[in-house]
Amino acid sequence: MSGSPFVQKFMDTLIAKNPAEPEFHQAVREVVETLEPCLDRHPEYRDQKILERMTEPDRIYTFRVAWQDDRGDVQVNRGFRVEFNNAIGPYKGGLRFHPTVNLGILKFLGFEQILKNSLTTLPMGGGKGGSDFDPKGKSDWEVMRFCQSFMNELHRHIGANIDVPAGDIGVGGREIGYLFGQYKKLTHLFEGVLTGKGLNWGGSLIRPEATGYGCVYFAEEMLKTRGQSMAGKTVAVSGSGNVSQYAIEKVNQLGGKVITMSDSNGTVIDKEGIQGEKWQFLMDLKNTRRGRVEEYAKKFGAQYHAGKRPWFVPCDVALPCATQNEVDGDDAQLLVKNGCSVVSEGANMPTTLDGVGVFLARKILYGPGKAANAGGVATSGLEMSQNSLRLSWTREEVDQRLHTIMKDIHGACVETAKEYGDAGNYVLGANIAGFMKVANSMIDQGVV
Amino acid sequence: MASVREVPSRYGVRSERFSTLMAHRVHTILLVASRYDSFLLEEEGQLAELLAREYRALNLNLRDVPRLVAAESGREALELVGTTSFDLVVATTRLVDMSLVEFAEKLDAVAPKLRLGVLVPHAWDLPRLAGLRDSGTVDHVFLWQGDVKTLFAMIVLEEDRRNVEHDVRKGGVQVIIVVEDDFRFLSYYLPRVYAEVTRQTAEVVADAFNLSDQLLRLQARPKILLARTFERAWELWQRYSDHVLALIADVGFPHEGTLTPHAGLELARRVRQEVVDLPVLLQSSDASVAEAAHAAGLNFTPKEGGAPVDALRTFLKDKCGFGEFAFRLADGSQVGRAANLRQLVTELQRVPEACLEHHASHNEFSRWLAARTEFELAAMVRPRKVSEFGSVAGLRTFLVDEVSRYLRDIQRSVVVDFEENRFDDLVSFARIGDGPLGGKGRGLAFVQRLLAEEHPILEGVEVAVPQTVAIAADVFEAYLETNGLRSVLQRLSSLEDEEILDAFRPGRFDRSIRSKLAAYLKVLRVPIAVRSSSVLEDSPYQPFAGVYSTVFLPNNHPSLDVRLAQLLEAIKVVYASTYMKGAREYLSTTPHRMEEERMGVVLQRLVGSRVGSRFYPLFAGVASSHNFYPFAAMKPEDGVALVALGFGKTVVEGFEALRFCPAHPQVLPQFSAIPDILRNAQRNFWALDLTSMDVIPGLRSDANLVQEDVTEALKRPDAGLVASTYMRANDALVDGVVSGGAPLVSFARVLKGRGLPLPQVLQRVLAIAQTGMGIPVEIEFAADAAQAGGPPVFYVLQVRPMIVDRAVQTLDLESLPPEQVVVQSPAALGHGRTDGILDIVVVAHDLDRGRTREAAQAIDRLNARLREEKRPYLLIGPGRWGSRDPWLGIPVGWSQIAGAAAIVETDFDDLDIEPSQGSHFFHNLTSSAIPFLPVHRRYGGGEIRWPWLQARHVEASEMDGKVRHLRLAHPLQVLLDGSRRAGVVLAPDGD
Repeated sequence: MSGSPFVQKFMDTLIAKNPAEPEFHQAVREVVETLEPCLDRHPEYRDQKILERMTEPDRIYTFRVAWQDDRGDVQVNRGFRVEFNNAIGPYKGGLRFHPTVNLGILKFLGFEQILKNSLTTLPMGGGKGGSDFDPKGKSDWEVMRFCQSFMNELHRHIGANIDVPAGDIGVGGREIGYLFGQYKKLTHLFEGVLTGKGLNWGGSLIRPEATGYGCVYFAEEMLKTRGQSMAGKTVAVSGSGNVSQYAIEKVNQLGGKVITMSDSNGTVIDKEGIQGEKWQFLMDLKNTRRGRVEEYAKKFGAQYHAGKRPWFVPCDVALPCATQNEVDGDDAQLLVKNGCSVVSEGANMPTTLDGVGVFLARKILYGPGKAANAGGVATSGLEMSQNSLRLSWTREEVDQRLHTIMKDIHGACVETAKEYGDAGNYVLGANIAGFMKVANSMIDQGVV
Repeated sequence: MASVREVPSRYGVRSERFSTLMAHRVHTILLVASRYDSFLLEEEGQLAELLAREYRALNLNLRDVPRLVAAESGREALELVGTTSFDLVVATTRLVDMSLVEFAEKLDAVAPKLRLGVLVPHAWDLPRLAGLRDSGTVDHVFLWQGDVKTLFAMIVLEEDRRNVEHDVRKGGVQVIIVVEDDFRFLSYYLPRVYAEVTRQTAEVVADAFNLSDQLLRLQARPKILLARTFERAWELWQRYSDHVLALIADVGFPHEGTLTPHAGLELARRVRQEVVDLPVLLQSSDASVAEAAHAAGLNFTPKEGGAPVDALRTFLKDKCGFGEFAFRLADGSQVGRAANLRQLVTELQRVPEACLEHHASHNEFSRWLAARTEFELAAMVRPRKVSEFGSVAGLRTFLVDEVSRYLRDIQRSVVVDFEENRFDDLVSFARIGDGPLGGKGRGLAFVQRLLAEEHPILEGVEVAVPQTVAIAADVFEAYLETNGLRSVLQRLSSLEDEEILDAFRPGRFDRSIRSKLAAYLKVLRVPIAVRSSSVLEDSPYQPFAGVYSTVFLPNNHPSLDVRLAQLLEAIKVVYASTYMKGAREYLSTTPHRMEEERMGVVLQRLVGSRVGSRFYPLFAGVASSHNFYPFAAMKPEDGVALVALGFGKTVVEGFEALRFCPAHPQVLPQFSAIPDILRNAQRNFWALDLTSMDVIPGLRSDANLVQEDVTEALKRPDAGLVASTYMRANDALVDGVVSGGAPLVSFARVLKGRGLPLPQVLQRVLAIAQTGMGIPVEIEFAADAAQAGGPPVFYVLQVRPMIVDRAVQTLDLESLPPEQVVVQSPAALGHGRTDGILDIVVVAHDLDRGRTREAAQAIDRLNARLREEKRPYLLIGPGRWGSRDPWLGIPVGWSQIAGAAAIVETDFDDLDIEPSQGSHFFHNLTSSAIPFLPVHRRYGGGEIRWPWLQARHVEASEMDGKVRHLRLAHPLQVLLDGSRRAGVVLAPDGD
């Protein structure tokens, strides 16, 4: 594996201290490698051993979770909570219930979470937790009993101002409900100790919409840097799930025209724009009937290209909202060639390394996922804020705040990139901005 | 969900209740008579033949006619008794070598349990025999008057004596006590009592479902118990009073040792004290007794000429319930009549309340039912009084419900001969024709029988076979003959399918068949399925599944003629499908010849509910009692089921259906997380289009079926049983249909055992069917939610033995030569043999776990190439196949390895892996029935011969040889024995 002598030395030490955690090693290596320019510019970070401190969790709890299955047999799982870093706010990060959960994986996820949360500009630290419990094949009652037993220990370590877990793989609305119920029972407190709660009991509006909306807001902000706006733009969206649906809606609201969407079978091209009644049809098709986008094409006489992704269609703005690696080098070349000048990623890592290289080389406005799709993480912060204020904001209020957050994230990326002499490189900006906020806070708070 | 109303089964399998009756028969009679007496006895013809004629005249089973063995002397008789088994000895009064008394005593000494009857050829001998009778050594004494009925009476009297205790106590059989001390009269009278009772019983059981039911019920004819004295009569009364149907008595007979002139009146008075309305018939040659008898409310007949027999006939019909039930008011005026149970139900709903009250208060319903051998029903009805129900209306409801339920319950267990005027909703399985029913019909008849032996409510769900009429294969043959279709069969190979159908279409059915089918359609005004039921179908080794046609008919045209025409057309389509190209090709792969195949047809009431212009069951599916792809805690014998909303076409044709193990219904790999559920939950379902009422069925089996979006079905009021609602705002799934979310088909509630506990019902039904058949079985089923307050219903549509690969089953995997075994797995999934694999894609076990994504790309490329070349391959690699976590395995999607014909999974060098289970990937594996052979150090063991693989020709290599494509000169073979979960990959000869 490549890397400077500093990176190599740092990693050797990290591996020696954390053996048998390959996932954690890899996550740290990727971050450290991208941060090298930052560390070079800020020797105080090295002096203060910021990386060494940031890669050592504040504390880790592991505990026994004993519960009874439906047959009355006793089962024992292991629970974890990694409280990684609370320099900028209470620990915040998901709980994962999956048989493969081990400390190495949770440390890897928790470390990434510190930087993700920081980038949202909201006061959220980083943490992660979970258990090797497998909800697959368990009855509702078993899941409930497990969640209750899990919370019997966890409640001592979390709180609205201490550590606020959320869901992750294996922990959805159902599990959050059971966990929250037991937390209340044990602590006698109704507080925002978990996010992802039901709307009737402390959850926030706009959660399904947040990532899609945020991705479009980010694109809008990027356009503004060139004195443009979404109005009148032709937009290619990939995917047709949550993120895509609301990205399409927000583009429509901002005066743009979305001409594509897709699913794993193929792409629809609707030159007239996916809007109004047609957007409503799409919502029903995907969310109620769980159908394929081909039906949209049949219904409205739009073009359908089986087995194709949308990137061959000329557009001003591209929003990859479908899946990993959906934009490769060739796609990126084609997009740019056809006049696309803005790419804002709604999905996680939709562009391959080759593709990213093309966007950066051609100096188009490229908003990487970790910044452009941070809207999802941001709503967790907004849920915490509403819980603290004992208020439930309206859709408009939440949307407005989301908009502000995305502006702030964009601003942080732009400023940081400029500071490092590569104005307009949102990849660099996003990687460093999140880190610096945490690092600076740690320095401010002394060696603790 | 309201709790399910438990409707207990009161009435079991009738044939079983009756089959234990009359267990003791008189099979062999030793007839001891001098040559002269023999001559006298046989004056009218051979006794044995006469006896058989008597049985035939009374519609009794000829199998029960006793065999007669003759002995000419007492000595010969006694010798025979020592060597042969007899049930009764009948002697005449004068033996050549000893007196009757001497013979009786000697017989008693050698065979104390053997009963002796005496036939007296001459009336003058009678007084002489009185002493003998009193000695107790002779049991039955009758005057021979040249009538074989006398011998018959003796046989029946003996049989009744032997069986009475069991049949009354266990079978509820009724008793008629006859008190008579006059031998001469008795010799004349008793045979006629038997004949009359037998004849009248035969008449009332004439509404039996089929011949065997009728014969069985005849065994429940009332027993005739004979008493000669007051004391004996009273003893019999006390022992059987609950079951006494009637008392028939002489007036003067011995009481306390002396002949008492009015003993009969006194006996009647005493029994009437206990049972006020017991039918009593007194008979006397002293006509003056008549007045006293009538005054006491008793029936009377003079012993003159034929009067007693006439009186007996009337008495049985009018007083003992053997005639039609005459509904009367208290003043005697008649308001209705019922000849059978069906008519009884109709009349019970109609007659005035006063009439009902009148009959109920005199136990007349129960008596009438008892005479019909409907003892259980009689016992149920008898103790219920109007006061219990608060009103006569309540009593009326009770009686109607009870008799209806009885009819339904008992008919569940039998295949009824279809009779036009007797077919109604209560008949559950009828047959038309005498030939074989075919595989499907036979399976259904059998499972119906099995289910009838169980409680009809299993786990709160009514479990049954849908109302079925099976048209036997002889009707098919007759159709071929009458319509000259044999000639068509000679030139099948030159005909297209449509031409074969065209040849079958103009044919005509026999008038009686048309008439029966019209009668069927008069009753059935709901959709029906016309299914094939060929005689070769459903053998364990030849599935024939989907080979022949099934036609669905909405059956809702206003005109009966049109409906009949459609039904006949549908049957012709099924008949023609016997000879379609696909069927012929299929048959050619079996050991059978075309000429052996004959087609039965099963007409089945379609299970489902009308929803708008569509008709479909809430859900349907298939289940097997053996699972070749068990995982997690599942055992192969836990079975497996596939279920989908709407018709089972979704399941059998491989659309989106839910697979689960009835013993572990919460283990649902394809539903393991919300994204999986959203991706995999059923989107479309099949329903019958009720608007297609004019459609004449064609060759396509699904001509009248339409595929619809499940969102429509999830608006059904009972959809909550099978639906969950996805709440997008908090990414949670809620059981049932609730507002504010998107409902989808999850089967959540039924899998949790709520409302219609499908897993529990399936476990029970599969166990019943497997036990019954003795081998693993597959069933098709359909279910609908509760309607009108009743329980939900689960219908078994088909049951057949499971198909097993004989070649694999007989293969001893352990004894294979080790050098031939490339891979051996003790935890393999799947079943059968996979041949013809010439390519292997193998990933090295020392692959760096950080490079699994790269490996996935490499496999993707090889897979694409091999698929394009149509070369199925064996895939071998470390880690959990299809894992979403790249550190645990190679994260391939299903499409990236879709060309694999078999998959081997093993450990990484640095990580022991638990076998792949429960993932969506795994679900694809099971649905595609791909052999899967895990070989894991810590989990089960097994072996891969890496050196052998290493030595094969490398066709392509990626990632520095970590991913290789090997090409063989000769094909590999993969063998799996699903019953033992043993699997091997065998090297080809020469490689």
